[in-house]
Amino acid sequence: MKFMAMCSSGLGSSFMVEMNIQAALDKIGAKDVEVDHADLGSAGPTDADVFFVGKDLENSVSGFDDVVILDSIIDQDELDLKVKETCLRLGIPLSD
Amino acid sequence: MLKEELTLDRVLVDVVASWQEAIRRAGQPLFEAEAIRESYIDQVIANIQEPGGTYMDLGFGITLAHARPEAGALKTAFSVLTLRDPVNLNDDEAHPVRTVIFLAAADDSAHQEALRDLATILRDGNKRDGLTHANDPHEILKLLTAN
Repeated sequence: MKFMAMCSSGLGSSFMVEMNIQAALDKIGAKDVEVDHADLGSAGPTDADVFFVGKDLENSVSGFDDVVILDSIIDQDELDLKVKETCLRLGIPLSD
Repeated sequence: MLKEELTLDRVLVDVVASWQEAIRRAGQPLFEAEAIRESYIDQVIANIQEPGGTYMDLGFGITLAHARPEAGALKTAFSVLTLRDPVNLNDDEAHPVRTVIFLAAADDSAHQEALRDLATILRDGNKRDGLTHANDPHEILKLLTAN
């Protein structure tokens, strides 16, 4: 399974989301999830199973099937919740 | 590491009249240090004005201002501007900004270790609040570079 964080430049914001998703995955003990980041221009719908973007880019991701929209990309509580929901939805096994 | 890339002369506390001025002020120390060309600051402002460009607002009053390396980043470097009075990013009330973290990324990867440090700090609610409420550059630098 692959999660991908996206932003316009693919350098700053999306990388921070990637790290925070990884922290959330570690916390819930989700195994076998790869996390990456990219800019919107170079990532395509087949590059990951789920895409995470900030809410301001919601209109830019209409071509992607499975998108999780974030209110804040540094709110770990929100990320923990949404990452866990995503794992449960996709049947990814958690350690606790 | 952020500790190596952020120095006291790159930490500012100021009052500005507009969000554009906030971005220019935040980028100024990096321009003076020849880490960026002026075109880089112009591009950051243009990117924020693009539809969806306010994604650079990380939430909690903190904006990570940046553009692609080819916009004129010469070295990888960071600066920080904390505003005494918040401004609205792109004049959008949904995006009040008190702290601008300005990132010059010279390539796709050199800044990642520093950004990793930054993400760890910003994930911590206490440190995050400390950063946005600090009025002293020494205090801000200490918050961002303490292990």
